[in-house]
Amino acid sequence: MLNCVNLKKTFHLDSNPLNDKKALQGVSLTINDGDFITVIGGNGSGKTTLLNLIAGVHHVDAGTITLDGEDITDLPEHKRARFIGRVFQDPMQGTIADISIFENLVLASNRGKRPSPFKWALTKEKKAGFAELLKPLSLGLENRLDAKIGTLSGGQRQSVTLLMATMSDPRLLLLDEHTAALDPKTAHTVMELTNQIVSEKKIPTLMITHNMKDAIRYGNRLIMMSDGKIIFEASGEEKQKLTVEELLLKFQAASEDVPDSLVLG
Amino acid sequence: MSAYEIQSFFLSPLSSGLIFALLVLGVFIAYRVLDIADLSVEGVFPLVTVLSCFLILRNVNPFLVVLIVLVLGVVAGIINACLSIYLKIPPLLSGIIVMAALFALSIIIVQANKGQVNLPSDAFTVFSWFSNLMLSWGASKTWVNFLSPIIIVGVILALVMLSMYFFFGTELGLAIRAGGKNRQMAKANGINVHLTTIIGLAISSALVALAATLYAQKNLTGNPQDGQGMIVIGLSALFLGEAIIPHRSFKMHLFAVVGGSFIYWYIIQILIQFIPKSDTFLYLYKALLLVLVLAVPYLISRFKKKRAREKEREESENA
Repeated sequence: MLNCVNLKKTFHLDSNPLNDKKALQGVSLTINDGDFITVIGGNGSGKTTLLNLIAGVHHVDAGTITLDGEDITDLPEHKRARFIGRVFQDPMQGTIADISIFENLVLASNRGKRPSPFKWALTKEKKAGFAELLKPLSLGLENRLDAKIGTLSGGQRQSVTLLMATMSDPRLLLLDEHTAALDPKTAHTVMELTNQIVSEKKIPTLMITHNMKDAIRYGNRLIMMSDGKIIFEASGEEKQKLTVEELLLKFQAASEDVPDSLVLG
Repeated sequence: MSAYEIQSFFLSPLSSGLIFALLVLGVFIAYRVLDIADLSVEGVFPLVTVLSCFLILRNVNPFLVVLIVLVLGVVAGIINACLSIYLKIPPLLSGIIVMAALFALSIIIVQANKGQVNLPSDAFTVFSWFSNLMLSWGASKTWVNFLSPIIIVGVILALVMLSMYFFFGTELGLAIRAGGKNRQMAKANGINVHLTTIIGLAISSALVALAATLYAQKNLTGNPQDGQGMIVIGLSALFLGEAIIPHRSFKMHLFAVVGGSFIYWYIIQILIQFIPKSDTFLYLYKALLLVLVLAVPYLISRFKKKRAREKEREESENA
């Protein structure tokens, strides 16, 4: 269970306080075990900042973050990665292009362990295990473990990244618009895979999306952000009954102008 | 050319290539594995040449000297990395700062020595030790003079390449490579990128120090000016090797880097031998060579892309 209490974050763009960007203005959020929360909001609403604070990319100005009772507010990013899996929007960010699929998977499987200078990184047993892991994706990657990840398509890369983020059973999964850079058909495939992994492994998940239909269809809770605050929350049946039109109205109520990206999404 | 000249034409770039291959491997770790433009090479190198001769003059065992300068290289690398990681000095500048500081130290040592740090021709060095060993096996003197430096540096280089190949194949080695290639991915996968950068730069500087002490022990002299142009040599050799030798895997990359060192020194040897006034203009030629090495692969790829585009256009017009 992840507990965020009153998180605040301001980015100082330059020395002029007038130009400060108040990215988060007191956000509290509890992610219970078994929760799959979708997050929507316009550009600059603070949704990515929220994810980055939880992941430790930025440190909070105020507030606390606890994971399963342990205070992780000041823990550096790489230490949080031991129990937090992440997939980014850009397929290039989540994997290393010019090393093999195998090597990328090894890096992910070592997550949370101190890398040993004496243990050989690439072993036959690991390779066989990864092949088994890749088979259910039905992308044929189990036979291409030695291929460089850069030779894969965006969708394939995101699928592998998703596998990497979840293979060591994290206590939290953070998805930052991980299907936004893909074509609609591939995005759908990756979304289905995400849903399958999350529900099979029962990983508490926070997913940012631009796609309001996805936000309604997937997960058991939905939160809407604007101006660094959570302005609307729905869960269970209430969430299932939501429509895209209703969500748009709520956006309008919260702010004068609806961002293009939301209308288009 | 006399027989001696011909022999030295072929063998002297070989022995330079071997010694500098160690330096190029160090530069390779910083530039390619860690993706850091590290200029501290030009400070580590002269400090180590001067210090090596200074210590050997005072009868320190040459193998102990090698050990001391390796530690010195590690410390320099750690300081360099910490300057940029913890004090947020851009890596390019932290390298220059370390370079300047170590260069100053080399001058201080020369002053403490009251003048040039030159070794007598019979000084006890790694090379004289091995030459004597070969002589005691009954090898002829001329062959020993030519071959002993090549054999001993060759053995050291082979050991270094082998341990690099194994080290960068371990979990830690893979983590270091990941940190250099994609910091965000590395951090998201729990890798302490600060630590991997520190370890990587420490190894890089240690290799440069190893090259420098062998250089000094072979030439029997250490000079604060020795560092001049080292980064140009290192980068030229690195890019030459990569341009000429295919390097899809890490193993092949190591061979490409070392091969680049030999190619570089043969080119320099040809310049010295056949181009007039090469002594005066050598540094200029070296700079031009680096420009060529950097520009030619780019121009070739651009030319190829243009050809491909034209071909495609023709085909679409025909169709």
